[in-house]
Amino acid sequence: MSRDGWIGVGLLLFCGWLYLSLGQIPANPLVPIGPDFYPRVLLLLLIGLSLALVLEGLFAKRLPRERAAPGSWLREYQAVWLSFSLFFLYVVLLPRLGFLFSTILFVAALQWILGERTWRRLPGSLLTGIGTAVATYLVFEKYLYVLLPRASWLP
Amino acid sequence: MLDLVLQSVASVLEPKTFLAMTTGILAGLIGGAIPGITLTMTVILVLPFTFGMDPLQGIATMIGVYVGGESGGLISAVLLGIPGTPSAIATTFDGYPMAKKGEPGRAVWTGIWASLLGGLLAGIPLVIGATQLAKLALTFGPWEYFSLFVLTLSIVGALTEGSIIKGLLSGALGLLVTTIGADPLMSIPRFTFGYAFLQTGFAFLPILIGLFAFSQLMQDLAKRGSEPEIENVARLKLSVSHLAVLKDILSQPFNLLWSTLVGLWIGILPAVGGSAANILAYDQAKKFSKHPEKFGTGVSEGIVATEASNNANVGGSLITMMAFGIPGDAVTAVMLGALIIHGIQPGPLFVTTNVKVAYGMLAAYFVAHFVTVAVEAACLRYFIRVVTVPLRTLVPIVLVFCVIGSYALNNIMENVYAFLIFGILGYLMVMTGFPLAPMVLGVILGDQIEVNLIRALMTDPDPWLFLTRPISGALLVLALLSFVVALYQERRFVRRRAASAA
Repeated sequence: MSRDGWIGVGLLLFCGWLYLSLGQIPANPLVPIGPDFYPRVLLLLLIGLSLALVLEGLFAKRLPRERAAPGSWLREYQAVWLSFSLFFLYVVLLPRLGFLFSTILFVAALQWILGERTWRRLPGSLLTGIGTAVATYLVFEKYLYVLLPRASWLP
Repeated sequence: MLDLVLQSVASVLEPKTFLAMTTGILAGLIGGAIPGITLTMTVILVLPFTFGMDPLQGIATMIGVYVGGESGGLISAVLLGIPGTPSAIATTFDGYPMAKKGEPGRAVWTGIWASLLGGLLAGIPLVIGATQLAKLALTFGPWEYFSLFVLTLSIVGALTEGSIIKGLLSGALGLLVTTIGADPLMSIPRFTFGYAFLQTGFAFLPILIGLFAFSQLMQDLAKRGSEPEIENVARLKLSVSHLAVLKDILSQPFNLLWSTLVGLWIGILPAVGGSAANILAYDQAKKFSKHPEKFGTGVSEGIVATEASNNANVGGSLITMMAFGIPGDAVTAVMLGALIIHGIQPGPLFVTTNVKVAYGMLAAYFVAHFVTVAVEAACLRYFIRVVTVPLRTLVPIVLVFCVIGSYALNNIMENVYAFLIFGILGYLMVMTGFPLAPMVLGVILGDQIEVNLIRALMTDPDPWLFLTRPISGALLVLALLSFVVALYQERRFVRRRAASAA
């Protein structure tokens, strides 16, 4: 089965589980059409479409693919997974360290990682981080009165 | 109607609104000019800046970004041969060769003036169409609305590149997302699984930022190795005789008008967008030309067609958005979100109940076109420098803006988590060939589809009314037709591919 077929199987399982969980929605005897009616219709549609994707995946002609060397995916998508990991860390640290501090760290680290990783470039990356964090802080907090995340350890 | 537009022009020209709109234009021009930063992403990034503004100021800023961005895409398309936005792809076909032949100023300014003229011409049907169609939409009952939304989703699901099943699945998943949280009629929680945050469902903006901005950035990073070398364009001579350029454009009235109409029509169609408009207009200009063989070598007809059409596309998209509350493209999808954030419910009542904002929007559309030309005249040389900002600097800054945009909506971290979840989902969808546009449309229209479906069935439980009411029935037949035509085209494409492989 092709990759699309397996995605269809995953969607079928997910939608089936959601369909079963619809039973937990309380019914209201006063209204003829309950809150589960629309999701039920949608899930049936999704189940039908997922089935079509599975069938398409089962009968699709598979094109021969070159076998990729082990670990080549990691190298090919290095910038993506490195950026994603740093961004995930940033989102986790944001409420703990506050906007200013975590943004300086995130911007500096990501800019450094995405460029040539030499020590000579580190001060420049740090300056970009400080510039971005301070400028956005001043514009949003002081000019537009938009509150940005505070550090959890600050009063 | 005209006096209302003129009064609104005066409101838009008030210093605080005018300044905000000009800043929006500047942001749009820069965002549009930078390859990798799409216009949708620029609108998303500017949106948080409008949170503290009054509705007219905020919407004028967004219109500024939209108009500026459509025009900005041509700068890098012409001077670097890299389209700044997808809606400037076809501009590279003749703009870049013309610049290469030693006429970069003529190439850029042909595009800028054609954008202005196309945009202004499309403004006339925008003013008339948005108000008149809104009146027509007022006669719709829940059956017609439901069928209209189904038609919109089926067009978008079926028109997307690749598998129709994936397009429809994407749209249905978008609809499913809107069922999370309290149901819109009785406020009974659904699919919340005990999480308090899910009681109110996902906010629209973090989903949009995640699906469009995050996934786009990750795609840009994945393609980083194949980034084209950016030429040194800082020394290019961009001065030109504006009179000669305008004379050249006006000497091709049919091309200008037809391309404007193509852009306008594509804009009116839900969620098709400027990328289709400029390519189709270029193709039409070539077919109608007396010398089609010269297309691609640097002829002005090619630039006029693409740039007039992509700015006219803005007008068309705004018609659909203002009259029916349906986004004409991804950018208007974000603008719909912006309207909701500013407390305005888009739809047929928008024009009649929010006269100041609605006509202000129309006025901002016209004013923004003139200001865009003025800003381009003053800052063109500086935009070229900005275009060369490396991705390693852009990506972290844009991600920070995405976080601010998600967080500042309600000042809760959960919206940032939602942005991250939908960002990952969006990237995975793109990687596996699922189009994002139907899902976004599903998220936008989900609540409206449910409310109208339930309202129709509660008014009269007979489901056949969806087919027997003339407008509703016609819309559903059109939905079915769009699906059948798309299916036929997909089958034909598969057969041709199999034949050429054999």
